[in-house]
Amino acid sequence: MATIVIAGLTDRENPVYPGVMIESKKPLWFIQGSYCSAGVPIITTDGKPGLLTASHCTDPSGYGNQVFQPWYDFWAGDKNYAGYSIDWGTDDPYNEVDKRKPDAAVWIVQNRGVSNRVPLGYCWRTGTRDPVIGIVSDDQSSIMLPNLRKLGHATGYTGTAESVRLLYDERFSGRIYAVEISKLPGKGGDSGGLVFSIMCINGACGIYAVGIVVGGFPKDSPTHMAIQSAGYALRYYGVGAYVG
Amino acid sequence: MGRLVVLVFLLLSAASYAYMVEIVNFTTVLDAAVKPDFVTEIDGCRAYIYILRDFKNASTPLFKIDKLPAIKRPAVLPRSNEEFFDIVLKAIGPDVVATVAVMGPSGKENLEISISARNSTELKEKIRIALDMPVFLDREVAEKFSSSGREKAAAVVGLRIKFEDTTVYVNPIPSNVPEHLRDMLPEIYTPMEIRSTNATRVQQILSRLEEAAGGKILPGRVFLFPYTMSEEELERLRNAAIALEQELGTVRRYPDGVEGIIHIIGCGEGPCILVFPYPNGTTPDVKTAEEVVKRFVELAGVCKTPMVAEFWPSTGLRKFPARQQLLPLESLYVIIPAALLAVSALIIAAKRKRK
Repeated sequence: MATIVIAGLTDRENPVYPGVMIESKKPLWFIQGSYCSAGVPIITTDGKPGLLTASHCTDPSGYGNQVFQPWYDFWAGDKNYAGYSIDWGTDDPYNEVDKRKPDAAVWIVQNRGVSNRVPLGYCWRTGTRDPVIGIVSDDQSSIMLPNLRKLGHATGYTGTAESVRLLYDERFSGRIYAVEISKLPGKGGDSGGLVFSIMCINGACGIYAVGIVVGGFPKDSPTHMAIQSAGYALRYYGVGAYVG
Repeated sequence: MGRLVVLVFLLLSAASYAYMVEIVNFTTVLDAAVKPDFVTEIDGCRAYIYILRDFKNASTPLFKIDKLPAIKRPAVLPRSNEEFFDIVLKAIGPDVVATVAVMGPSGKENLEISISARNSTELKEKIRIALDMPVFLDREVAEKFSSSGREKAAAVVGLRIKFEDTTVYVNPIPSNVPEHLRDMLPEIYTPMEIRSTNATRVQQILSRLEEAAGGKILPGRVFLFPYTMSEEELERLRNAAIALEQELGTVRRYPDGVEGIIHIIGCGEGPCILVFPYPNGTTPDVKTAEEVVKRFVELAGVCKTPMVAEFWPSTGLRKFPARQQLLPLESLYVIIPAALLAVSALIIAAKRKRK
């Protein structure tokens, strides 16, 4: 495990870790893409490390498939190039005909390392950087969780110590949970960011990945956060969680 | 020395009593929320209809579902996982599904094993025979055994006991709690979770557990739901929503999301909360709202009591990427040379004209 030197979620990082800023979905090198966040640490069956992010943050092919961290910088040369995405998901989970498709994509990280440690020190428990040790199961239609938290580059680390009931919104494809945004504040730029719970399950205590941020509803002034289930997305892509 | 012993005893007592058994009944969301604008019966199914004017201080069921008061009673955590599993198996065993973490040189994996056992010793023995490896009730002990001897070992990391309308999940006491999380253990560790649609069954289970524990109450969380819906029923709700959205013509698509869709929230375990957009862009009257809800139920062919229908001034989804409106700095690398070329071309053309 590499040591992380945390400069900030919007800085160039090596290794990259949940919550850092990325830019992808660029139509051409000189046109701006989407600025999002990195989510759940993963490892492919052939051993490639990466992170989940939202499918609407990247493109399945073309220039928009490349991922830059924290963003594309003409002067940085290749330094900010950070890999590519495997994107079989959907950009529009409300309009998607194939109801299996999640709003999630796999960012295969290149040019730098990946850490599965969540820097809790951003606004709580100064200095601790705990690893993701598991994934919250999505086999029930609602989940009760203690200590629900989120890490995205736009609003940083937010969450609640209260117990929260995450409810599926069946209208969307994939598996999308709803939770009141006052408990898990977020905004534009947080898409793809890690949603997690600090809890004890299966005999081990620590960070369990719940999902990734995809948006908020209603559209005008969101009262609820929309979260794509991590367990569902990992199964869909056939990748494992990078836990430890 | 005597004072120290008393102090340690008091601290341990306080720690064990920090645990509670909490019961949350999700049907009570209708009492916790504001009064519905009206209630209507659709083929024997009762729908509670709310017309939300704005989101400020909104207290319809969807805004109250996380704020329901729990019935809480102090509880005592068993001293060990042996004691914990003995109580559970005696009270609601012997048939359980055990989640077993298998650790070895090639990594870790979780398995589920259906087993019949009357106590923790029998549970370990039966799993040991099934897997042909040492079995422990403590994950950390199994990890240490596995890493020191480079042999496979297993730990029982969960039990699930299923009844017709109720499921009990048993979560063993963790031993590897990181130091910085120890003070919050009662908040982050739920020893037992009971999910049910039958309050009488829950009462029976809790009584049997209390009796098996010698009068002590085990800590955990109990969730009571009014009903469950099958995957097929949920699919029918989704198809009805898509069809009704087309009939109402409320959906508007934007690059950053969508407006005017019907949300179908929490229906798998109820109460099912449907969120409708205003049908004509204006606050619906009672008659219009009732017509919309009835049409939805007609299309879906599914309605279970209580069903909640909320009409919101806006619905939909806004995706959360950030995209700046201004041209990026990089585009200047194209724009400036292009502008220079254009100006040069104009100057050359003007000079030629003068000649």
